[in-house]
Amino acid sequence: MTAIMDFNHCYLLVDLQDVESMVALKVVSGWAQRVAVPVSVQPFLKPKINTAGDVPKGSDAFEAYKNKRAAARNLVRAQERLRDLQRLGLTEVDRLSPLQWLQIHWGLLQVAEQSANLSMLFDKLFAVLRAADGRQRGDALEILLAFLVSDSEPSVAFEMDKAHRDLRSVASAWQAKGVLSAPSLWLNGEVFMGVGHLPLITDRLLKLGLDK
Amino acid sequence: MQQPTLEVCIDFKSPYAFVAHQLIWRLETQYGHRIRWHPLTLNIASFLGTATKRAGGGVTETNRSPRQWSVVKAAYQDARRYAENQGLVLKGPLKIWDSSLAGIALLWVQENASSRAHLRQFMTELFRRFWLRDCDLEDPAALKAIMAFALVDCEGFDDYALEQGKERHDHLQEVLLNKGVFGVPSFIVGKEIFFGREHLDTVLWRLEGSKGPIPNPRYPWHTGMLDDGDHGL
Repeated sequence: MTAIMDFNHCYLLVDLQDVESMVALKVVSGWAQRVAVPVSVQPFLKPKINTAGDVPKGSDAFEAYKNKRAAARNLVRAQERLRDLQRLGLTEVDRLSPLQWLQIHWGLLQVAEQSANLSMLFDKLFAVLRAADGRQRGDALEILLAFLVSDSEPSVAFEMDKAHRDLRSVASAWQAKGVLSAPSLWLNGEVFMGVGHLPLITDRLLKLGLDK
Repeated sequence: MQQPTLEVCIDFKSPYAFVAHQLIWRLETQYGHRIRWHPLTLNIASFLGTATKRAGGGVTETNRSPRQWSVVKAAYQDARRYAENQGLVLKGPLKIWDSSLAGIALLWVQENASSRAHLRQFMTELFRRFWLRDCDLEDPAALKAIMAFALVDCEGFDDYALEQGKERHDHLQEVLLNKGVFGVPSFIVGKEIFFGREHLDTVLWRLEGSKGPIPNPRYPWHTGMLDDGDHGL
């Protein structure tokens, strides 16, 4: 596989099945235009980290506390998901099949080297999620996948096993670089978890002399 | 229409609470949303395991998994970026502190400070000293010294810490957890909970009547970011 990291090039790691990553894609696409920085989007498909799962079992009271805390965390996550949907102007995200998500994430890999036009990517993906019915969704998905794969050089055909392998390999490479979860941003060896660090990253880029 | 109340949960041993503290105060000092502070004493062992370090570096005792260490290291690396940008010194603690007494002190000062400025001074100084490794959070004398520094009367604090204050603190832990507060800083506005300072814009937006589009999450970086109205980035 070719190198996936360049200096002075920002990478956005996403798991688009998660609404938070969709918000990240939307926000970063607007930001990339504004600061004129090339950004590549890459899939990072790993389960959310649950550090509490690694804690050795304790007393009944300790375990009861852990369970209550987990419930509280889920409650807040659900509230944040609703706010993220609001940020996207959606009430719910239509479910795509695992195969369709696999195709989308694998498609992202095909344009990863070329810094796909993020706003076009977001618009096409958004059209899939906003589709009113299965037929519309199928059409929108076809357009999205054509957009992703047409940029790849040389052009490649989708194969399920290979797609799984490629996605695992990319996730492992990012994990080795310190990425823990999606969405995350990566710039010049630094990992920024979540999408909220854009003001800091803008500052870093300005210090590197890039024009705003 | 009645303004929604703002409740903020913090723990002095949290690096995220430390770097958020001054920004949170601006919701009150600049926007007029009076804050009711709640101590949430994190049981760190229950989600990140335990560890003890020696002053020169090096872990002496731990039950943490590699995954937990990665998360802890990333959290401190992240908090340090923001601390440095605010001119704050953040030295990693050498053990996992029981911060419940400091939480009780917060309750005491909130009730007994003669002004909000004194409360703020107490909190600022406690955070500053603790993250310089210059304050024993488990020592009543150290906490009373900071109260004295902030001109807050500490007469009666020792009894309060053992009885009424402890009772209130312990009860609060149950109440907050049942509401859904699991980490700090957390913001409670009505029935909604916001976890993390990246939601400060959204909290303010909610407090001001949810006008216009909902802001996106962002960690405040430069001073005045809450005022720039540039929520879209």
